[in-house]
Amino acid sequence: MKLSAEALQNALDVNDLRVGQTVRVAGYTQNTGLAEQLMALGLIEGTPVQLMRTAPLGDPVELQVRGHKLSLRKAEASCLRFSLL
Amino acid sequence: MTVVSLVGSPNCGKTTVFNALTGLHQKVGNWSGVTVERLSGYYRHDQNNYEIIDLPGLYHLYETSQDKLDEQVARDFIQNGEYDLLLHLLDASSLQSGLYLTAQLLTINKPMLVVLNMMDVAKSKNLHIDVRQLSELLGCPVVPISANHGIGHLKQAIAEQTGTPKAVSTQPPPETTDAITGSKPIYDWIDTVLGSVITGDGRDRVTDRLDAWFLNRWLAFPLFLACMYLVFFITIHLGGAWIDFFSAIAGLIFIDTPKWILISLNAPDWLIALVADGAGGGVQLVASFIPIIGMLFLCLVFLEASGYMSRAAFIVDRLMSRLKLPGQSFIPLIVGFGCNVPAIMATRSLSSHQERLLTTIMAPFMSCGARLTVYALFAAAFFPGAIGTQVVFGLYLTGIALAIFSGLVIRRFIMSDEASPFLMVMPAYHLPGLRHLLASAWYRLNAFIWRAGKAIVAVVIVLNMLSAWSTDGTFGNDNPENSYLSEIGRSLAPVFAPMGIAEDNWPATVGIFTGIFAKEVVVGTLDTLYGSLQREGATTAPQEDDFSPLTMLADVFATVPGNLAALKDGFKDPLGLQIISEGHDDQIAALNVRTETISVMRSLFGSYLAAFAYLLFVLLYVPCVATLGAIHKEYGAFWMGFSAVWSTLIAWCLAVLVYQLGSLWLGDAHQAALWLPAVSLLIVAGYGSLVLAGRRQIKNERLIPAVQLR
Repeated sequence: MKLSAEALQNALDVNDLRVGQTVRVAGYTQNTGLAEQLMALGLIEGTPVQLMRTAPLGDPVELQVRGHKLSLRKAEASCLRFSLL
Repeated sequence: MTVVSLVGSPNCGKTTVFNALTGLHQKVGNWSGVTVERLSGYYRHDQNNYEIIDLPGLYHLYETSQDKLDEQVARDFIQNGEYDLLLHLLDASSLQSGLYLTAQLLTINKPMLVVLNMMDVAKSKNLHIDVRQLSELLGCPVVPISANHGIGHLKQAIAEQTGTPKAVSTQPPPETTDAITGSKPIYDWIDTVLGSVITGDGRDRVTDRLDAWFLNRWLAFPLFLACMYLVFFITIHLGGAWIDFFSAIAGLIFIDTPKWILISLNAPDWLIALVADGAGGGVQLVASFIPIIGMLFLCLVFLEASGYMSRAAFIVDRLMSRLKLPGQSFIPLIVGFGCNVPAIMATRSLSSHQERLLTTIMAPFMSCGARLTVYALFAAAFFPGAIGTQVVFGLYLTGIALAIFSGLVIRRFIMSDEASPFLMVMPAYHLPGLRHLLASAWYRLNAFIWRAGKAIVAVVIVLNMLSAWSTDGTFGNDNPENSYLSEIGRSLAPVFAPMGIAEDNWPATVGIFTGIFAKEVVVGTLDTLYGSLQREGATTAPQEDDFSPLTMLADVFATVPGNLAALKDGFKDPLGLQIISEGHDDQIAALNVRTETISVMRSLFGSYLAAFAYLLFVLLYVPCVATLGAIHKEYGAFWMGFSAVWSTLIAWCLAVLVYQLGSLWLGDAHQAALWLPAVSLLIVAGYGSLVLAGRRQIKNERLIPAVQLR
């Protein structure tokens, strides 16, 4: 679900999250194939997401989504936007 | 024959179940139209034959622009293929991520059977699953299994379910068309299903606790390196301890016995060379790789099945992302320091074709154990003491630098694909069953023996014929100086002149040529040829061939305890670098070379610079026959040739550059002015045409895309 320009302004991206913080998926910056993959993996609007950890060198990150742990690069997570709980 | 499609998401344990159902009755074919590997397995149950088709892992059935070819093939087959039953595997310990696919599979009009795998892990996560309720909601039977239990029950259920019409689910999933609009309704459905099926908090305390260590900011890398060290140690030393054993047994069966029979039949010499030394020698070479490759596969299968491989990829992904390679590609490169052959085989764990290929071309630059014997010989002759260690260390670093350099160039100029996304559901840790470990390792080993083995045997036959055939028409191994192989060496000598190999130093050239067999052969060749130069005119009495299989067999078994006893030294020094720093005489003794060889080498090479240039060349030039065989098996003739030319070109140019620049530095500039521009020109022209050829090949492969599953 692509976000409006206004919604994008207020949303957080993956770099704004602290380790251990739980947020909700607000939406996507654009509807790419990657966004579709992420949606199929459970990252849909309103889903709670916890940033479990970043890798020792700072990238990729591990997210806890719907009971499973998903790892992805920050570059790939950059199409995601989050909102505070 | 009943055809069953095995479907599930990546990392749900599909391979385990596939191996458990079919054992070793597996066959690799191709999907029609594309060169994606199609893996089938067979078994019999109650007088019926079953074929299980292992489909690539999928999270969903939608087509997206990110699809890999193997995913497209799987998707198409599930929807349009000819089969009797959908065998859908779910990881009981993370049902959430698997049920998405389930929802889509239920809308396909085929009989379906759901298998709940990893029930033991689910239990350890404090999850209770109401199997009967789940079966009712989905409208198909659900069979729970875990690592080593429930396979017999599963076979029975498959037999019962085949042919029965599809039942109606009491909780039908929504009909959807794409991930963007479909994901919400599907997850709502999943929440409904799970709400009435699962009880328990599902927190995986074991995995959390292990991840706190293995993914810890400070401990992750030390633990990762420790794991790699252990894999390296087990492969090279524990596996390596059996090399002599395998090699000697194979030698006894395939070389000595046929030779003895042929001699007693008065067969001509050429036939003996062809059958015993050629074909038998080739088989022996393949056999000597069995222990290390088998051990490596065992280690890799364990790392994959236990869940650690995904963590390793997570940790090192950042390092490899510069090359647009995924973290997983680090492992083959590390393994390459032991032996390049298992390194090539280890690239199979990568998910995309181009990533596998790039790693494969980089891997041979990792200086393998065999090359170390050559360094040791030269260190003894030219670089005694601490300098030797520095020279050898420098060679290792040069190899790594050139691997990275080659990777960058190939990524930039030949491969056009963007890096594939690093999306991975982290599996829970669990202890894999022994049966699965052995079956998977054996399956891969078997494929190596048959497919790479053929290429290796062929080349060994040719090289052996050349080395046994003298220019005067006689046959036999007793005068290596006059063989066609030596003749080739002599005629090739001018090519190596610019790197400081004088014409009368032709044995060095022959060494390079025989080194294509296996890099450790270089030492033996140099020893024989330099030794024979020293003993000019002296004739050795032909050896009397006593053939007594029993004594030989006893000797063979005696190699193992000694090699195993040496393990504790290997643990401290996995690369075997100690041989470099040992005292001069010990070094020569350890290498089994004659003292006079060293003095002849010194006089013929003439300078340290020429010796170093030669070492550089040996480090970098064409991968050995076994490695080439492995590349051929995995990626075909083009990329085998590409890898050979790519590395030989680097080797020659760098060795010449170093020698000429060194000569310039030392005030001997008469040739440098000629060779430096010539080398630059060759680099531009050579790599230019390699890049063009590589691009064309990649384009052709895209027309007939080559992807290997598993």
